[in-house]
Amino acid sequence: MASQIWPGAGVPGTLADLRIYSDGSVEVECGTQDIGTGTRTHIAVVAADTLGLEPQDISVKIGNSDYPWAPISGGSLTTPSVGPAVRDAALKAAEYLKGLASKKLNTPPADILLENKKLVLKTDPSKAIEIREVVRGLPRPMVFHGERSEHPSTFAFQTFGAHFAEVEVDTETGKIKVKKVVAAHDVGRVINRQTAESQVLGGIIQGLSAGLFEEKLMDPETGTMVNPNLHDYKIATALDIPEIIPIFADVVDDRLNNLGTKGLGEPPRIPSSAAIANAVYNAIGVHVREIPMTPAKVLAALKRKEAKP
Amino acid sequence: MENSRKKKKTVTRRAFLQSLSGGAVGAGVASRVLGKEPRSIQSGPGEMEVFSSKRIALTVNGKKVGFETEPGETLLQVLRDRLRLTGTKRTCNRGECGGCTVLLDGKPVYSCHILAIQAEGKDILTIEGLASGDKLHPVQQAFIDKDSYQCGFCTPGFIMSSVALLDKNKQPSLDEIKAGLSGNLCRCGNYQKIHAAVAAAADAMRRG
Amino acid sequence: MNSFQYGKPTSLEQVTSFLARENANVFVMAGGTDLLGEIKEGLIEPDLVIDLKAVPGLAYIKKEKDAVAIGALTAVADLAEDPMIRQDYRVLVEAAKVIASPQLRNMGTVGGNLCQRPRCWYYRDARVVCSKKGGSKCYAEKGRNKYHAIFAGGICYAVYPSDLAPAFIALEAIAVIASPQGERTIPLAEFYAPPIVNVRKENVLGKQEVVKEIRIPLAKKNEKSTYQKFIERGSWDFAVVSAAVKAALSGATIEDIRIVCGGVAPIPWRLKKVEAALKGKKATESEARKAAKIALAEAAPLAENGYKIELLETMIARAVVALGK
Repeated sequence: MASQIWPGAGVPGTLADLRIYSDGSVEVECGTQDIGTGTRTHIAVVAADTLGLEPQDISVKIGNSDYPWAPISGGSLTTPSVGPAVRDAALKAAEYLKGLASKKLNTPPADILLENKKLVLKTDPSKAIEIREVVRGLPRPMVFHGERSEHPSTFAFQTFGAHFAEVEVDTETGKIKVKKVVAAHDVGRVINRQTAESQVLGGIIQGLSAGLFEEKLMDPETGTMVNPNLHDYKIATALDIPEIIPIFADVVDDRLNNLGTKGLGEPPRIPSSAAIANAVYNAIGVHVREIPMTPAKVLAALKRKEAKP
Repeated sequence: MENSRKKKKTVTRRAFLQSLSGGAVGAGVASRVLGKEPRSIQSGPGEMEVFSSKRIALTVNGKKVGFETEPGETLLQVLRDRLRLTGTKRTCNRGECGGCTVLLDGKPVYSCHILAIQAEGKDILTIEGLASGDKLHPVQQAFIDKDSYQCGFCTPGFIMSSVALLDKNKQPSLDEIKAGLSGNLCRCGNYQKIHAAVAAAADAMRRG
Repeated sequence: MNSFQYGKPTSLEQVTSFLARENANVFVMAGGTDLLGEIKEGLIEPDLVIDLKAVPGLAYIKKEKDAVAIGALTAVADLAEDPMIRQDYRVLVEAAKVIASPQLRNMGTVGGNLCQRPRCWYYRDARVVCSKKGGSKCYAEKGRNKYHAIFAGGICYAVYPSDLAPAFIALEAIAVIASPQGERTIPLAEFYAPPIVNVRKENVLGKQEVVKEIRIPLAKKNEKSTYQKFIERGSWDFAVVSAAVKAALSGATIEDIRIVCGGVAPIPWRLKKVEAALKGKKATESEARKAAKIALAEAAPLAENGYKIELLETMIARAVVALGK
């Protein structure tokens, strides 16, 4: 078992624009990028959820520095930077839509909800008007600027997580087989379950790979790395993959930002090698103090154990 | 709807690279510039035929294609640079990662490690040949449904290996799936969802 | 890749006569899985590559009167899946099915696997002129050597990477070699030669010669065989250590045994003293470990590969135990 804490805080000042067109289509522009972590999905989910739409209703435009500023993808900060900026823009759009609808429904904006692509009267759901209807005839696309807020100044905040690993150690060969990993994390609100799980799977497998196989071997005489290729620098294959069970606390912390969410890129990577190393210790009664825990190192550790009873 | 700032003329990275490698002449010039000139060896009557370039025909995704190729050109180079089938990825270019996996006469191989000239007369299936019209192959659909990729670079190779596996084994166990996909690496570490997608695709294909 | 010419032969005679005619920089290619890597890495700069796959009729597995004949161009995957091989030669199946990856098993051939060059990282680095490339020393000896030889090093510590070679040698296979003068046969055990014979190559194949076929004696009823391979990750790796064993058993007693190891020496490494010690003994783990220690006493490990000694003992022990299963 091993645990992690990590900021996962996001970058204040991240910007996003949300546009509503007179045909009812909605577009979000943000100068972020999706390197496979699901940014595109998260933007659509946040905008859609705020406006009572479906994610596929949102046209997401990213990957262009001309779009409103957003930070690099790194440091577990994309979702907690971009998400709140999109949420901010979408909340402003929601207020605008409620304002338009309040005239048509003849009720104060505060009494109106956005759901199922409609603006609905809280007290009487039979009174509703489609978003498309409300914006029909707009003279121009309406643009809403969103900005990610400052961090709270009165308390510290982190992501938290713990991994539990089950391993088998072949004491005759020193080979470690990871059988199962259970990983629990508190990263505030989980924006999208599938992409969040993928972050956890990736963090565990990269940690397994680094913990067991990956070794940068430098040659003292030539000053070069002797294994700069995917044959000699070994990374985990399909046959090294344990059963992995991701668990999320999914507790919203509204004090952090308007989504109550934190980053999840690095957190699952942090304890994954260590949890395996501790499970190895539990299995063989001696610590392997260095990764990768290669067969040679495990056999050497077992010899140390034999040497001092 | 177009933002006026974006109306300026842009050249994409891919278009730029393609403009460099366009056609047999371009590729030939590039290889001569980059590599040494081989000693010219002639073959006599009755001897083995020797080629310094050869016009070949093969079938790619059901279509007959023909082109002039040099012996130093890999099947992967032809697929990407000549036929513009860029779904097949060049990743390690050493037969060590699986990103370039295609099916050659139905069997998965690394296209980076096969000479194009050797593919003469063969039947090649790439990721672009899987869907029929707008309908994705069940393996492709399952990869989407199960969110079986992150950066996506290994995905075409994994899908081709998965298709080959399911051709041979309609109902693979988890261990058989892992063994069948053991020639493809995923650096993002999404293996578990990839395995789940193959199992789901197998179910979908059995149901028909 | 550097450019080269491509030879498309229609017969082996065409290949060998061409090899006899040309004096340098002509390479024959089977599956290409190793050769193309050597070209890409800049280790060789061929003027001409002769494609053996173009020759019809070199991929086959046939049971004949006195032997099983396996064509050199048989795909590794086809060897692993052949029903007759699966029935009679477990060592071959166990070796073939753990070679590299599914894709490489489709591409690679039996002959190519037996003729591949070592994977030593100094040898594979074109910038390093080691003894195998005509230089004056082996860089692994005092450098990084966790995968290098524990037997018969010295001039060169690169290990021979083939999985099929130990398996075939354990089965007493014979190589049929074609040349312009016709064919000759040689026990596969004598096909490989250590660095002291010629550090630049790993076998005795002449410049004009090509491996055409591998022949293995018909399996006898009381014979069992197995291959135990140790790799660091779950798949797609060359053997750190491997042991191919064939034995004639009478009940649990070993009447005769051949043990050939991979990953421990510059050529497939037969352990005759261990074989002698095991004759007449029961096929048990303790007997196997006792016998294995005889060979291990002769091992000369380098700074980083001493763990291979323990691994080798374990692989031999597991192979002997597996014979009974």
